[in-house]
Amino acid sequence: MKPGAIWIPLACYLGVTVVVPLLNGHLGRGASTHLLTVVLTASLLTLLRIAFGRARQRWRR
Amino acid sequence: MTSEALERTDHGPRRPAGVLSTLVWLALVATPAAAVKLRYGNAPVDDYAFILRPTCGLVSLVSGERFAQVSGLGWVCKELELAVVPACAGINYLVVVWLTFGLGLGGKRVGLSRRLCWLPIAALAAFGLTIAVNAVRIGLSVLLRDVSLSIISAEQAHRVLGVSVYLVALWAIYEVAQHLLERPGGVSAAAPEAAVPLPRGVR
Repeated sequence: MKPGAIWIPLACYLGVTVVVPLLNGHLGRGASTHLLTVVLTASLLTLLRIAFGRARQRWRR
Repeated sequence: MTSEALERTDHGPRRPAGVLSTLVWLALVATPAAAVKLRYGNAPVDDYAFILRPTCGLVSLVSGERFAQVSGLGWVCKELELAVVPACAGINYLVVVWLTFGLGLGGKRVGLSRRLCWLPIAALAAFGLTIAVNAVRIGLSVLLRDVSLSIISAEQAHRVLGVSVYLVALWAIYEVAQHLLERPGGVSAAAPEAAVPLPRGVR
């Protein structure tokens, strides 16, 4: 599993949707919902990738 | 300055040319992204036609619902009582996909010429994928508009759906693109002959 596949898109996404508005001085409405969704989606996808990687290793054995 | 002079080496620390190459690449990718963000920060609604027209067209094609442009508002579907406004245009997502393709995939390409060739491909891919993903997001919003959850408001549900679709699609796109570029016979990101020069005396 390549860590870049998770972190590079996430960094770009957070950079555009969170860091840039923060630098401009406003995060906009619903920022907490937005961030919570990002954290939950990222966690879920990471867990899915780990589970998929383990299942594939077992299948190869 | 030639592209060879800007190449990086995997032997030891990066040469100044390699650092310069990275900085030039960062500027080349970040400048259009910043320009788009600035241009569409407070742009009039009709300026979003280049992205909202194909997006709503795609939604219409799949769902059968008709969207009509209303000047000063956006694209409106009267049957669904739904308006696709500039905030739904996906300009931020366009910038995110561009940066992900440019910095993530383009940054792995060795040589300035190869990286420059990657830029128009990344731009076209970012535009096309933004339209496709945004159409999926709007389509799902239309499908799930009558579903109500007691724990979150309709606005929050709309936001959660949008962020989830955007992020899952972004990761899927990046994973597939990385796989396609790195497979044997694909357009390899790091050609061995360019990345690892042979030592002197070795033929």
